[in-house]
Amino acid sequence: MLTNTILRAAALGSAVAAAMGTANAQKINVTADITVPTTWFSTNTYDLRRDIAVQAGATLTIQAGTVVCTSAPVTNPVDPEFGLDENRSLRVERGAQIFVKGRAEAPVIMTSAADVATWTPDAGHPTGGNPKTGTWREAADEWGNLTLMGRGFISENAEAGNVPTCNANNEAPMEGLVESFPGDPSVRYGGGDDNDDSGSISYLSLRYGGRVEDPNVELNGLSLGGIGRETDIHHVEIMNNLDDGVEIWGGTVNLKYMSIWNIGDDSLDIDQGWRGTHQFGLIVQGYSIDTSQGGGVGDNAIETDGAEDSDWQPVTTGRVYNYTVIGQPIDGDGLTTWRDNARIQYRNCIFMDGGEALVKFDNIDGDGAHGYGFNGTLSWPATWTTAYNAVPAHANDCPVGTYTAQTDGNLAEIRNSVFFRNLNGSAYTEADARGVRNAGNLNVTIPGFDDADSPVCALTRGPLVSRGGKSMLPVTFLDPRPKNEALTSTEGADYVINCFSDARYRGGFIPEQSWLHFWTASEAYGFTPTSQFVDLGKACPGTNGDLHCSGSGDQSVPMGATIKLSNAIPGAAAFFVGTSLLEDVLPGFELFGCKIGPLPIFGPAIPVVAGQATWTWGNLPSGGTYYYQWGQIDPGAPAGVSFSNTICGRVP
Amino acid sequence: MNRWLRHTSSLACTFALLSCSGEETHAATTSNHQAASRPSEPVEAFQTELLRMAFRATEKFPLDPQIKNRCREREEVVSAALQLGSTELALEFTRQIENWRKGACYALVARELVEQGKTANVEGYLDQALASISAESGATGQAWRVDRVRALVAVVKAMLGDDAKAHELAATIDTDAQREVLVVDEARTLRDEDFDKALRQVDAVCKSGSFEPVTAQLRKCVRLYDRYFADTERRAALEERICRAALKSTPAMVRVELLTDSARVAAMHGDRAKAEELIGLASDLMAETPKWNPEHRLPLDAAIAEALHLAGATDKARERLAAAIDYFDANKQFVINMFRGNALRPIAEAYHAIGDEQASIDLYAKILDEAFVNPNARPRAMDFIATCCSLAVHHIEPTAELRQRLNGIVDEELDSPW
Repeated sequence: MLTNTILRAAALGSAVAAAMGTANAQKINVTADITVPTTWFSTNTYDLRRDIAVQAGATLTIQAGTVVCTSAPVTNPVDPEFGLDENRSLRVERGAQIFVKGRAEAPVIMTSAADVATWTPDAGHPTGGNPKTGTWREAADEWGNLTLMGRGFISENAEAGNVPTCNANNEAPMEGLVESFPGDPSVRYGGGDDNDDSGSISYLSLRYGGRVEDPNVELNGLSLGGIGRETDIHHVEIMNNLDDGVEIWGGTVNLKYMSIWNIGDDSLDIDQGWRGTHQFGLIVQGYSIDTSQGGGVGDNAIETDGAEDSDWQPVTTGRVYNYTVIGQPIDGDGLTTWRDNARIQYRNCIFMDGGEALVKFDNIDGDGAHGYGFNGTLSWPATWTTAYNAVPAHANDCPVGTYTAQTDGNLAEIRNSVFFRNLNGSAYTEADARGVRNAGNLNVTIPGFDDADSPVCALTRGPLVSRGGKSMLPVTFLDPRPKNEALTSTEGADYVINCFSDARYRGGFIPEQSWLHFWTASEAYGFTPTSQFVDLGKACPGTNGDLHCSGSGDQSVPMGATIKLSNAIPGAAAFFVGTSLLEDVLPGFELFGCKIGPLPIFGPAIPVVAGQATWTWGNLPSGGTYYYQWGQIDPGAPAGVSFSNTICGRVP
Repeated sequence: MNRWLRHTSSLACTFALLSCSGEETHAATTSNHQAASRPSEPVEAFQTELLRMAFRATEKFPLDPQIKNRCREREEVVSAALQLGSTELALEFTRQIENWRKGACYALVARELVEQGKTANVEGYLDQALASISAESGATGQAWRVDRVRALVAVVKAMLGDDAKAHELAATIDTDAQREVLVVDEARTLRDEDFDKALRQVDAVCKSGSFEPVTAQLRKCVRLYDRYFADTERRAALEERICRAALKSTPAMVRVELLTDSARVAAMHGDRAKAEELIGLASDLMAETPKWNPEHRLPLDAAIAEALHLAGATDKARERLAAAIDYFDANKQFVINMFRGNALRPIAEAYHAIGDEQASIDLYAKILDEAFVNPNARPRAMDFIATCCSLAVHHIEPTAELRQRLNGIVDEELDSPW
């Protein structure tokens, strides 16, 4: 009965999708700035033909499933619409907003025409190719990037008139952008509003970018200047960028579920006083093109600068939790690099295969800054031993409320993390000097070198190659789910409850399934395992915390798929909730404050054994997308009932 | 509290703002957590009309994709209603908020009700506040939003004397922020016999603590400065600490705020000479800062002008405001057009405060002009809402002409483009 109902819903959904169709698909050349609210639709493709600004007050909404496919720059001035212009980026000015509304099963992709050319032909898709396919190429610099500029506090010292105190008047022009007049506010970031809102971004894949006309400037995959905490950013991938993967200058933006692969400089670069949190991330160091380290070949995995000069305010003070960081074992640079008073708390992370140090003390960034301890600021050692809330007063200090990202521990720390196969002779020298591997920090150094000892389920590297004069071992396959010491985190619940999702494991992934499924280039290119199932998020916790739903197997085979419940309370049966694919038509509803999928169908009670229950089924038609969730009557839950996360299963 | 600091509000600031809003400045010197009952004053018809007009403007924001903007603006209107003491209007608006901000607003309403001594329904509102944040606790939610609501609820629980629940909630949120509210609130609850002890605490924190506790202690000093102004010895001790700290180790904007607030206190207690002295220090600090964006400078100019007026120097206040407008006109190209109203509104409010009604009304008209330079409905609506709330909160009744223009805007000029 349940199966029949869902199948009927699937058929209806397919009809709706067909009606929406791609018969009117267009290739839109974007040649003018966005000055009024604009929507980009998934039935079209969009080609950035110049630098495009979403101007202050305007809003750009990008529908789920939309592909922004930018063609190569014209090499002679015959472009009938705009002429020669190598700058092909999208930027969101202060006061403007962007809403990238991707979903796991329908991500927004910003890439190059050359990438799309590798996709398996699909006449039904506006690009003519299937976005779930493609072939990785050694390439970058094929279009620009996505830049957001906000009004949060920054500490930038190169701009005339900026002051070292935490000051709302401190602003800076974004790199790669040109002012129309001195002080032109349209290309600047920074201000005095840490709660600024530049919009929402979800399920966005950025590929093969970094290009700008100025030969002295390279662009990051995602540039975030002065972005405030009201901006929502989660599930973003950067694959093969020329410069940094993500760079953040100041502000308070929080990021979740970031996947950063084959970056030509630092995978994650933070500067100018960022004060936020990251949770759930994957960094895979490699190279994008054969140029130099820092301009095509990976540099540091995570590079953090406190301020542009070390006694300026605000100073970077944040947290990075649940990151899986996979370095380049021979010539990769630091796994975590520290400059100019940066203060970061790393917890529940995996750091493995680093080519240099786990903690790389750069101190200064080579631009004339003065490093830790300058002008009365905390010394490098003291930064690791000073409680997050016991910073000595300094003349340049910030006003109340500027530093709220850290809530316990010391300003700089690496705790409850796993270190594996970091074989450089100095891999742990600085870390040990800072006490990182002292017992109290609950870190684990895995003694073995074999794949069986690894904290991730599977990792395969290709043959040794030389790129930019560096020896590189590209990752060709990764199952990033945790294994061995990464399966559990020993830290108590105090901090994970405070400000983060409750993750009791190390690294960016839960054991059951990967949040990379469906939407990433890494899966499309075959770097990460495919699965029909993807986690769409948490619902209502119960007595034991979160119920967890996971899927495995093949839904197209009779009884081929298993939908599993774990962490259930004993003594109460669970009920299975099946839903259909009509999310675009019926966006679901809320029950007891929980997001329930569309068209819920409550199945029969299923006994819970040892906290687990399973539902097996299959024989579903190809092309359908289905949503699954578990529920349980739970008197200890706030609403008397608990629901698991929802998972989405797509039948190939 | 100046506008710049309002803009910097975060979780920690939320606490500080709750306790620094000035509403409790003259509260009784009780030593328990129970807030003194503060009766609400009747809201005039034009104020209700303005707030309803503002709320109508929030209805223009389409839920998709503007839900965050729409709800943020609705919270602005709720806050304005609460500043006027109208819990009824605030509740009516709160019920129509569609995201986590509904929880924040329920908590703010509850707090106002407790302050007014109307505690009958408060617990229910607090329950609704906590129930509203479930969507933000998911894997892609933002924890600071949850924390903000919990923090607001914790404050009200403490005001109700439910310390256990307050501490239970506080344990799940930023502890520093919790400390902020307690520190600043000491100015209200401090027993006279504990004054010297509190002063020693100020000294100790200023000497060795991190900046946030230092600033909280200084704000506490400003409030104590008001409370003990008649006590020459204690007043001098407080003033010495405010000036010493404010001149040495705080950012210019905070220094200006502390000095200006102290000047207002002195002026309100009739000590014009002291007020002018403190204003002079604040003005000097502003002059020393090398670069000012008008959006950040004009609110401070407005605060200084209001203090000057309170000190009897209304002509100087008027000059300051005129100079501020000149500065804006000369530098407005450096302000993104949709934010120009943020710079000018405090000046319009200050004109009203010093009694220059026509100048105030004229400036509000200019603000509307500036807002409509941007062609989009979102920034226009945001500016319109801010203007309506500003007029209502500052008891500025629009002229017939301005009222007609406001009605015309909300009826016809905010429908597109969204």
